[in-house]
Amino acid sequence: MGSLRIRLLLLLGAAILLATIVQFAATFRASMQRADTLFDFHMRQMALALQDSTFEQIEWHAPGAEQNPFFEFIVQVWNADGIRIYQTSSYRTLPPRAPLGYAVVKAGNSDWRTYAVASRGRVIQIAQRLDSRRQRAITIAFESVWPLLPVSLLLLGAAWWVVTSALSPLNRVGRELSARNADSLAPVSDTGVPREVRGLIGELNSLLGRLAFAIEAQQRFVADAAHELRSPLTALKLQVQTLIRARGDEARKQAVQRLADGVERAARLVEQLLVLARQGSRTDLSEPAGASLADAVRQAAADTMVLANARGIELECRGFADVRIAGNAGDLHMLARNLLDNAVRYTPVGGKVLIDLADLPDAAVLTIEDSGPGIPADSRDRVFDRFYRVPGTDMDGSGLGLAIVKAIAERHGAAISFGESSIGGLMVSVSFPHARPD
Amino acid sequence: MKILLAEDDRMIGENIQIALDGEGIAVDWVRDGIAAEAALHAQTFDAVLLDLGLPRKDGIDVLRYLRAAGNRTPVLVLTARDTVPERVLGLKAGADDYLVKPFDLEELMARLHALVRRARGGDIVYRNGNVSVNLETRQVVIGGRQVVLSSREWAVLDALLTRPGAILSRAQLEERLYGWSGEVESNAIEVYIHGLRKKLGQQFVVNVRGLGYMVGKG
Repeated sequence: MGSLRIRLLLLLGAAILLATIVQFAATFRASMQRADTLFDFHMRQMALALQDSTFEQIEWHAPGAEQNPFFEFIVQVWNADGIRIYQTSSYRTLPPRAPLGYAVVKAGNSDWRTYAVASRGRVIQIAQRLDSRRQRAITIAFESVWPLLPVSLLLLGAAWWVVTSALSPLNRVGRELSARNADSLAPVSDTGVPREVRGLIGELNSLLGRLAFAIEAQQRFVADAAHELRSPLTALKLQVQTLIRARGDEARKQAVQRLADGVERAARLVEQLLVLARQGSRTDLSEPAGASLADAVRQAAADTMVLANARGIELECRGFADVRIAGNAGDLHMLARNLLDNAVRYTPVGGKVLIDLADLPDAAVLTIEDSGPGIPADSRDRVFDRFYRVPGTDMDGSGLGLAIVKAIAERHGAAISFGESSIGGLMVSVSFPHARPD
Repeated sequence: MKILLAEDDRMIGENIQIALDGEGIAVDWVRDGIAAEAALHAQTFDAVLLDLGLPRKDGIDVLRYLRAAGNRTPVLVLTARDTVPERVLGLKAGADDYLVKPFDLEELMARLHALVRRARGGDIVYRNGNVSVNLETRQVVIGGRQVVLSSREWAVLDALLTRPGAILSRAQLEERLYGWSGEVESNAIEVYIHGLRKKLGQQFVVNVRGLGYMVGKG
């Protein structure tokens, strides 16, 4: 759109110019009319003043009399017989006798303004050439119009000053913003800023605030992630060194196995970090046709089966409603997978894990129970924190599983609750509310 | 030599234990701060390898508790917190040295030995008769000839050299030699003492019947 200041100045300048022109024209016209009236008045006064005079035609051929350029009014007098008995000037063409009162008559190439009055059998007529009369009127009109020019210039100057000073807070805000370095998200000061702009700055500051919060969260996440990556990397480094030092086939075989476990663990952590980062960035993930929660849970159960078998844990499905919800199939699978994985990992060997998927009137509810040790009450608030591990747990968890579950649940508008399981361990319920038909 | 390892990460702890074990160092491994305090309360260690990010009780708090109780056991802090203020915090709380994860096993060993040696004070080289033992390089020389000891034999010698001229009971030696996880065979100490005597001379290790063993003051 270009500069607001230039736009305002152009518009205001144009308005002032237009007003000046209109004013100029109107004043000019009025002055002309006034001059006209005044001349008419003078003609009449002159005619009336001459009523009682006796006119004696002197020799007007005397040189010099006609030369006077200021001699504009021409007096003519006719007697009752229509004979001109008096005239003031020696014009070659004089206006003829015009009707009584005011009139415009043509004589030769010129138009004349006339005023005639009848008195004592005579007609006294005063005449003035219209073009010289106009000339005078224009001179008078110009004299009354010229003060408009400096006033207009003054107005233009005032407009320039007002626009510039009114926009200076905006310029200051602009300068303040452009002078910042990239990572400064401090609010912009709104002191001395007009109310109209203050709203804009308020919005800007609110945006800056949200941005700062998001960036801080992201930085914290990266810092946490880097910190947490140190442990698996330390383990890998030590495992490699242990492998190098290992003597004998048996020791070497064990060291290789440990190293493989370490690589597996690091890979899982990185994968989970990626899943979590993706959850943080995607805005809309719903599939238009909805996703089958049942399929997601079935798939997750199949994935967990291997680990469950290895640990001698029985997976049992109590209820399995074929329910579809608005959401993303991949994410729902990840949620169910993480919950089942946790249940199987933290339940002692030979334990039991129950799955229940119910389609209730207002929500689809996935419940997973285990016969493990549960989560101590004082840790329940913290288990959703990234990288938090319940003290005393022996598994090499990344501390991200439940953070991922929480992120996915939040995106689906689902609520997570903990309870005591009837088989002794933890009960986790995730409740996906059904979309209300609007 | 016997150390306490306080580390909650299973893989890291496991590998440190294997490595130290290979050097003949007994390791007691605890996984949280409360257990670390209990272990330090119950036993004496030559050194502590302390992870700062311990569950239940932070490593820094364990360290402060230890120093407040007047325990001077050398502590080598292992941590992923590597900013300068955090290092300073650890050292101020009473740590003797600092290793930032990920670290090398070689460096861990070197620093651990240096710490223990500094804590014991005295010379690096112990001399008695024609036997000289370098505690840093672990070189054992008898009459100008270098002798190779097994890691267990070295562990026994190392334990005895912590206090030359003092008698260590068999139980004390066993405790120095094995962590909680190690199995103690009934006559293991005798076997290692026998090996040492064979290599360094019968009179190098003195048996005080019913009390234990000692080496002479250098």
